[in-house]
Amino acid sequence: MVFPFFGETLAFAHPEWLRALFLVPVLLVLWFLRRRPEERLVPWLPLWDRVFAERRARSGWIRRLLSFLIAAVTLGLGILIVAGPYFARSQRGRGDTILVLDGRYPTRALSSDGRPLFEHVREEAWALAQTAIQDGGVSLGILREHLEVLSPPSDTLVETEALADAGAPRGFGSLDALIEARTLWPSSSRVLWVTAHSPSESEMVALGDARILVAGAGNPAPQAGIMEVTQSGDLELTVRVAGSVENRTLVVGDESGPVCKPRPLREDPTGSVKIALDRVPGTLAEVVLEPRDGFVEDDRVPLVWPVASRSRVLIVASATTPALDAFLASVAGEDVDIAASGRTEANAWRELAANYDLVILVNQTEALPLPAGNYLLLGSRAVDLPLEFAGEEFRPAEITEVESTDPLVRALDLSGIRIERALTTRGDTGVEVLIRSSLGPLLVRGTSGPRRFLSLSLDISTAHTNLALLPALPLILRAALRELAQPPGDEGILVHRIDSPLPLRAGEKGGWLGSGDSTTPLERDETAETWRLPWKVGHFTVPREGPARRLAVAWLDHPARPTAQSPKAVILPPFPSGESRESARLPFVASLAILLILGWILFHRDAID
Amino acid sequence: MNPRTPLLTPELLARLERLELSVRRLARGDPRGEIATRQRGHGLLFQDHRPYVPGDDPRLLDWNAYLRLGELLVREAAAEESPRLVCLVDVSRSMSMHDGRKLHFAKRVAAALGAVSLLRGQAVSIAVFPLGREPASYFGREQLWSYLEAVSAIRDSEVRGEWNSSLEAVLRATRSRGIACVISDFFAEADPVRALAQLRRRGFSTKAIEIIDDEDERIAPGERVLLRDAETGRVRQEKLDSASVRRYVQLLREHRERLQTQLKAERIAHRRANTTDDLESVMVDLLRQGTLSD
Repeated sequence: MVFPFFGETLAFAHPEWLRALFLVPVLLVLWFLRRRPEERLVPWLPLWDRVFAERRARSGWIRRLLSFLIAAVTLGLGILIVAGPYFARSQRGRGDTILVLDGRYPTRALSSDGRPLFEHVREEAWALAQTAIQDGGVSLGILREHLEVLSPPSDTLVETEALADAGAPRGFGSLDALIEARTLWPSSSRVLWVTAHSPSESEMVALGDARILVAGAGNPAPQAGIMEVTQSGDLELTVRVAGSVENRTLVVGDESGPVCKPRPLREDPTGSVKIALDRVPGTLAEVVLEPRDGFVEDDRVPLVWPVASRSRVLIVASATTPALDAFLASVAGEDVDIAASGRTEANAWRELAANYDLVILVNQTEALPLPAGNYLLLGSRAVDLPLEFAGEEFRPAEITEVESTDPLVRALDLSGIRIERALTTRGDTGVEVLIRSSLGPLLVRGTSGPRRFLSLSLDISTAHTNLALLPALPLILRAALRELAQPPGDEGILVHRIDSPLPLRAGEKGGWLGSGDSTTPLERDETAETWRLPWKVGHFTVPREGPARRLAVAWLDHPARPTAQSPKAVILPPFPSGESRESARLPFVASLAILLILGWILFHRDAID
Repeated sequence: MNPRTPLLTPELLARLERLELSVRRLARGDPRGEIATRQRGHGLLFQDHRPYVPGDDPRLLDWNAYLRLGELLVREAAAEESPRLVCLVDVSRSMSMHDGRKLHFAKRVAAALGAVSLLRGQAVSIAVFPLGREPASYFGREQLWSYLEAVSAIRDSEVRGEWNSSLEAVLRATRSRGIACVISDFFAEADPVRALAQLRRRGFSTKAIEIIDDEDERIAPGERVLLRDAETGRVRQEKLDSASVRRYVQLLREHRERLQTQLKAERIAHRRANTTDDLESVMVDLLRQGTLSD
């Protein structure tokens, strides 16, 4: 109700009180209809004064007490009215509740009753929602890869709409997403994280700091998983298993069946067992933990049994190389694929180099740049290498220093070596000098861009050196062959972990993996020149020209492996109870009005002063 | 008593005349100088001494007494003049209550007293108070009707006044002393006894005739009663219960008894007359009391 008032707008905060203005005409009417006193003329009023004075004197103490009481109560009521009395009524606190279901991959694990843990999560969430809806709106969310909304805030939830279409657990979303989202939700709301797995200690602290309650659901069944598989011998595996291993057995098999005897497991602090294989496993080898438990994802680990790789070698020589040929013949079955190797003249090898694992240049004195690849330079020169060749002439030389710490040469006996033809070399930076001669670095290891090389800068023909007759040469050649023809650090890996980086070897192509007739795309690792292995368990092949490399991918310490009991069920904490205030002035004002009327009546009846 | 009742009927006047004669036989001699008065004056008969006060005639000093006692004393002799009757009628509002019955009765008493005095050949003055006009004087049988007319013309007064000053003013205008008959209900703020005593000390033979009315004692109880003082107009709203009314009547009677006692102490004759009383009997009593004697 708004009124104009001297150019301004006059409004009332409590216009309902304006209804009291109707009392004004009523009071006026009552005033005009009031009963007037009956007038009596008396001859001498002082006589009556004495009568009334005596009457008052008789009831003096009652009169004074009544007067004081009315005055005191009136004053008290006035003070109470000014103090603004109100009735405070406590109200049950209300607020919104946000239930976030743990819909991540781990909830696929089976509970002790044989059902997936996610079903327990869903049931617990629904039970909590039914309780929480009595306090206000309830919204449902689920954490899978990301935080998703299942149902917006509502006071009436329908389970089939809210949870039935929640979908299957997937993804490995971080709780950070939930904690971050908590900051966006009203601080007065309740947020519950309904999960089947106990968060870690740090996660519990973070959830507590974010005022997120953790509600447990389900009880994972006892289980175990394969953490690591390594080759510990020619036909021996070491398998590390974690979890409840009671009544569990490890079996290694392939497409032909078991390749070992079942290996019963016992409780062992290390969790490692050794398994002796009956034979080399086939291409579809795998280690299986039997019988399967409630979480089967980590019960099976595919394997690729390491096969001795044989390098394809290209020999570039203008003359016969009997010592080199003898060496290749000696390692043909083990390290060198003779059938895939070759020999060529100096003028044609550059076009062929990409098809070989190792190119051996023998006495190639014409200094030319090397294509990408692995090179063993025997008395040969090249440019664009950290090693600098001073001239084309071969001169006699003597070994002056051997790098005794390097495994390639530390075991060699080079004391009686005779060198009549060696190249003069310079350069200490960017290369590893393994043997130094009087003409400079004699045996050098180095890398130049896509080129890896070993350079032995002497003529190895028996006419100019006795090295070819000594055992040291085949040892040097074999070490050089293994060092250059195989990628470093990848020896003996039986199985790769999901989402681990995959360094490519020479000639391999990234971007995807072959898996049977299908391919699996890869993601490039942003921080390194590597690719990320897929979230997929199985045998794969790395595409390359020529024979593809085979590799196996398994979970190995599955991140979703239920390792602890789920947290206990939570009791929804009540919202802070509110307080409604209703003004209590009216009863006091009414009491005051009644008291004033009573006082007025008593005063006019001379009952009080 | 109906206020419209004539003050004096011829029959009553005749009875009063007979009454006056019968009373006179009891007295001695001629009215002038015959009637012994208590008025002290300049007569031949020594009556008493009194202390000299400034203004007294020095010829009246008793030098012998001065020589003997060392005090200035004045010889007073009994007055030998005919006493003058001064009727003072209270015309205050309380006298007008109850249809003016008290005032009417007071006027009848004043008329009767004046008539008797005039028939005796005495001078009569009639005055009203409070704050009345100067008293009008009448003498002889011839002025009886004039006197009665004057009494009849008395009306109640709206003016409030104080007894002492009012009576003083009236008596100052009276040249000679005499008999002062104050006819009133004696409801006054000031002490009426004191005023009457002052009259007596001024040399008047003062008589008090108290007029009462039964209606003064009759007042009905009520929840809300606005009591208005007839004299002053002061009002007071009270609840009147029976006990209060009874107490009022008791106090009223006590007031009257106290008045009577106080007047007696001041040697002032008092006669209470109810408005319902027979005037003739009242007059008989007054005359027998010597109301018209000094």
